Order: sequence, then structure tokens, then C-alpha cells
Amino acid sequence: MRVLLTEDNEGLANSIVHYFTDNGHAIDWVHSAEKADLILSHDEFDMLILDVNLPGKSGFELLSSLRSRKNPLPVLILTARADIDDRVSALDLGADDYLVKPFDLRELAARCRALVRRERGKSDNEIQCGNLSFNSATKTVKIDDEIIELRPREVQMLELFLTHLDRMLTKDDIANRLYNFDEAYTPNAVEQTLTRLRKQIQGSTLIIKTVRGLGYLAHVDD
Amino acid sequence: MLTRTALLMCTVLAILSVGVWHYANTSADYSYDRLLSSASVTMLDGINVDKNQVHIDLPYSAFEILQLAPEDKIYYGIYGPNGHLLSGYSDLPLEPSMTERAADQPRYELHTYKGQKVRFIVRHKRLSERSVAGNVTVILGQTTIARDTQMRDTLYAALTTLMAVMAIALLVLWLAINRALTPLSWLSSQLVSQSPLENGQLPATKIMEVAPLTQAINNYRQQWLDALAVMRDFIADASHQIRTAQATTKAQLEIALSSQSEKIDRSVVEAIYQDHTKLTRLTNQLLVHATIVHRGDRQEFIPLDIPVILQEVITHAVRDYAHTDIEFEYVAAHEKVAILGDEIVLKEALRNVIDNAVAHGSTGNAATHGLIRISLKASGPNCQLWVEDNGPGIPEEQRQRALERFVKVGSNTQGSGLGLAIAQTAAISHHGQLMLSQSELGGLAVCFLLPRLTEASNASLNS
Repeated sequence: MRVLLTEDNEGLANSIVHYFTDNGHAIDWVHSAEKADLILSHDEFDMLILDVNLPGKSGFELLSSLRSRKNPLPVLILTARADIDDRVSALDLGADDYLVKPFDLRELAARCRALVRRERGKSDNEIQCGNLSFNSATKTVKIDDEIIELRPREVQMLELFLTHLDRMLTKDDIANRLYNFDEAYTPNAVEQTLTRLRKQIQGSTLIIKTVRGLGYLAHVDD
Repeated sequence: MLTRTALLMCTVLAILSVGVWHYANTSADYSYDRLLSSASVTMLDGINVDKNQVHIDLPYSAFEILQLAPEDKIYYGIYGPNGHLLSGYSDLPLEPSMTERAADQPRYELHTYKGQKVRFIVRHKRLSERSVAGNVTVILGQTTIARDTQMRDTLYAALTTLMAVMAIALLVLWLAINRALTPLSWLSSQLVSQSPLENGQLPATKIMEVAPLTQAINNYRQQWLDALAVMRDFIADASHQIRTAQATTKAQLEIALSSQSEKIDRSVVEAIYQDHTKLTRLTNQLLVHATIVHRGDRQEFIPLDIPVILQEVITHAVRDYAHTDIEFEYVAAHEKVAILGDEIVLKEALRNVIDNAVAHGSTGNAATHGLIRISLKASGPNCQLWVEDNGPGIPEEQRQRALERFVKVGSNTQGSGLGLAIAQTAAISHHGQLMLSQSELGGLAVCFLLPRLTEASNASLNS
């Protein structure tokens, strides 16, 4: 993925650039919001990592001007402010995610991947989650490039989870997508399908957590 | 205050002076008009008809009466029934009126005559002889030197008395104000001489009226001092914690740098990383704690739907701990639960308790997974938010201590010792409390007991 980093702290920026390059991502670094705006106007990026406190125009200003131009570029906000409200206002302004400094580089990379994945899932047929890939056109599932055979219901369920990563899905949410009105299903049916799906995708980086009393949550641990 | 009172008194004095002047005038006129009146009566007595002629015999006694004002001059004129001047000055400034009747009261008038103020009396007498019938009129005037003198005397005497009374009143007032304000001056002198941060109570006063005030000031000051002491403790604790962590990292870095070999041992870097992570967490927690305390002071509470908040917090926690084998469980309440609160503070507090449960719960034996149960119970006017784990828990005698800042209980040394303190601060700022107990899962049960937003309190909020 190609990332644009807007960060005025050189030490931190260098580390991020180093880490992302080591992990095989293309990353460009600019000091200011003005520069970022200029580069974004003629170059294509998969996502933008944006610091809030920048010399000159603030990260928030850049973000809101991007969104007012209907630019759908995924944006992850970095903030170091003490006030927790900052995070809320970042999301209100149209940021896709935020991280509070200091953060783990591993966490930053994972969040970036999740954002890019989400954005690509909307347009591409191929969804890549760590070592698991899913083609929504051919309905093929691969783990480490090996095709996994899944039953239709399991494929439906997997697709539902992949399109709702990190979100809580209740048993009803799942049942409504998997079964139509005519099909009778027992409450256990969802769980049985899930159990089989879990077994099939064992060894992949996709984790499906059960939260008793609330529902299910899929997360990619890469 | 005294100046304003003096001004007020001067105004009163001015108004009173007008009154006194009027009184002095009236009384002087009253007494000297009587002289004029009796002199004119005597003069009229001397007028009679003799041989068909009006005969005037001015009695000496009339002038004797007027002699009582020796400085004054007297002018007179006597007019016959047809209005002809019979005797006296012909150029008096007033004429006898033919329409007046003898029975009428005498008329008094003030005129300037021969350059002097003169008070005149006009009095009539009815002559009813066959030959001479009609009114004879006596106009008698007297200059006003004596009456003016008397008027002035009265005026001055009254004014002097008045001013003396006013001065005495002012003096008394001044004394009274000074006396009444002495305790306050004493108080302010005491306060000026002391630093507000000095831990000294104001000396006890014997003046009963001021005692409550000194007490109030002492109380107020004590509250400030207490708040300051808490802050000082906090800063001392925080600097100790942060500096210790920093010192550890720094020492490790120095050792790593002073190593003879060119390559740095990976384990050393890992140890530094671990310690730095601890330092990071500590700093974050400290800032969160400070923020919560600060937000608690501002009290901007809005109605919050607790299940929604809980689900959000749990979703985030599940996501962040997805890579571990910790299981989460949610037990919902049977009814709607809403409270009046600060969403951010509440979420932060819950997250801290959940993080705590993760850190302390998962260290249990390997046979069982770490289990964290979050439940919401509605009980009358309150609601309970429970976070339970299946870890080793905290022994009962240490639970109270576990709520204190920087206190770490149990074997885990990775924590900052602030998680539960943050939760407690949040609970208290929401007018609730934080309770620790033994969970039926085996570990610690943390309960936020918070007052619910009921229909009644919601209505009173909206009105």
C-alpha cells in the first residue's frame, strides 16, 4: 500500500518511514499540511496518516478541506493532546481512525492495513486479510494461497464477517443475512456454522471472537 | 460611608433651614403685627365726630406702644369716610379701599417706602353720626428693623442648634461606624499580614459577631490547603513514579551504550522496550486521571444510554484483545438503564477496569481461559456496572488499598497502579461509588454503583 505521512516530528517520522519501508509499504513523508495538500492533489495514495499538531495549517483543517472536496481517502489521525475530546472531534470531522501518541508501530501498521482493506473491499472483488484472501466474485477462500473448501453458508458467513471487521454482529444480524424468511433455522444453526467455519480457517490470521450475551466480532491479527 | 452620610445630613440641614427661616419670619411678623394692631386700635379710638367734623386726637399711648421698637420709624395716614386724607403722609404706597367693612379683620401689607421695607396695617372704624357716616381708615406703617432683627436672632439660634445637633450626630455616627468596623479592619490586617498558603488559622476573636466570619474564612482556607496538599501529593507521587521509570530506562540505555561489543544484545533492547512501555502507560494513565479529575470539576453531564456505551467499550476491548485467548461475556439488564454522566469519563473508567481485568485475570491457570464478564443490573434508583474476572482477585484486606493511587497489589508489576483510582474518581464524579468484591468467577469483581436517570429526574432536568 502507498501511504502519505504528515508529521512534523522528524524522529518519529523517520521511525515510521523506516518501519513501513521494512514491511514493504511505500511511504512518503511531508512536514506540513500545506505540502500534504499539494502532493495529494496530483498523486494517488491508499491512505493518509495525519498528525493534528502541525506548523501552519492543523491536521484537522487539512482533514476537513479533504472531506469538503469529497475526497474519500482513508485518514488516520495521530494526536498527542491530553483532552480526550480530540479523538471524538477527529472522527466527527471524517477521520476513519485515530491513534493517541505514543503508540506501537505495529499497531499503527495494523490499523493502516485495516483501513486500506476496508476501502479496497468496497471496490475490489479480492479481500486480503493477512494470509487469508477472499474473492467475492468467485467466492473462493485462500489461506496462504491454498484454496479452502467451504460450504455456501460458511462462505456467506465469512463474507459477512470480512465486510464487518472489528464490528459486533449479533446472532440475529447473522441469521438475517444467512437465512431467508422461508428457511427455518434453529438458534443453534448459526453457532454450528460458525464452529465449522472456525475450524476451516484455523491457521489464518482471521479471528472470530464470541462475546456471550452480545454477539460475534471478527478481527484480523496481522 | 461617612462622607455619604455627611452629604445626606447637609441636604437635610438645607431643607430644615428653609423651614426654620419660615418659622422665624412668621413668629417675628406675629409679634410685631400685634404691636401694629394695638397701636392702630388705639389710634382709631382717638377718632370721633365732633360738631359734624371728624376730630382726630392721636393718643400718645399709640406711639408709646410702637416705641417698643425704638429703631423703627413710623408712618401713618388717616382717611375720612369719603377717602380724603385727614392726617398723616399723603404719599403712602397704599390706598384705603372703600369696599372694605369695619367688621373685617385688619389687613397687613409689606411695601417699600422711602427706601425702606415698611409693614403696614390697614384698619377701619365705622362712624355712624348723622352728619358723618362711613368708614374712617387708619393706615399705620412701621419699618422692619426690629422684626428683621428678631427674625435673624430666631433663625440664627435655631440654625446653630440644628448644626450642633447634626455635628454631634455625625460624630456619633463616625464613632459607631468605626467601632462597628473595627473587627473587620482587624480581620483584614490579619489577612494582609499572612500568606494565603500559610497553614495558619486566624487567631480566635473575642468579638462574638465576627467569630462566624473568621471561622468561615478558616474553613475556606483549609479547603484550599487540603486541595493543594492533595495536588502536592499527586505531583510528588507522579514525579516519583515517572522519574523512577525514566531512570530505569536511562540506566539500561547507558549500560547498552557502554557495552564493549559493537552489537547490542537483543534482550537488553527488549528489556528497555518493556520498561518504556510501562513508562508510556504510566504517563497515559496519569494524564487520563488528571483529565477525569478536571472534567469532574466542570460537570457537563448529559443523559447516557448505558447499554450502548457498554457495547461500544466491549467491542473495542474485544478488538484490542482479539489476539489473546480472553473471553468476554455480557449480561444485559432487563430494563432500560440511563444515567446522567460524562460519556468520555465513563468509557475511560470502564476501559481501565477492563484492562485491569485482562492484566490480572489472564494470569490464572492455563487450563481455563481468561474470562471477563461485564454485566449491567438495574436496582431501583441505582444501576450497577460489574466487571468481573476469573483471576486470583484481591484479598479482602487489600481491596481498600487497591483503590489508592500508585498502589499495586498482587504479583503483577506491569500496571501503573492508577487504573482503579481512575475508575473510583470517575464513579465519585458521577455521584456514585466504586466497590470491590470477590467475583463468583473466582477473581475480582469491580462494581460501579451509579444513580440512575429516572423519569422523574429526567422531567426535572428538562423543565
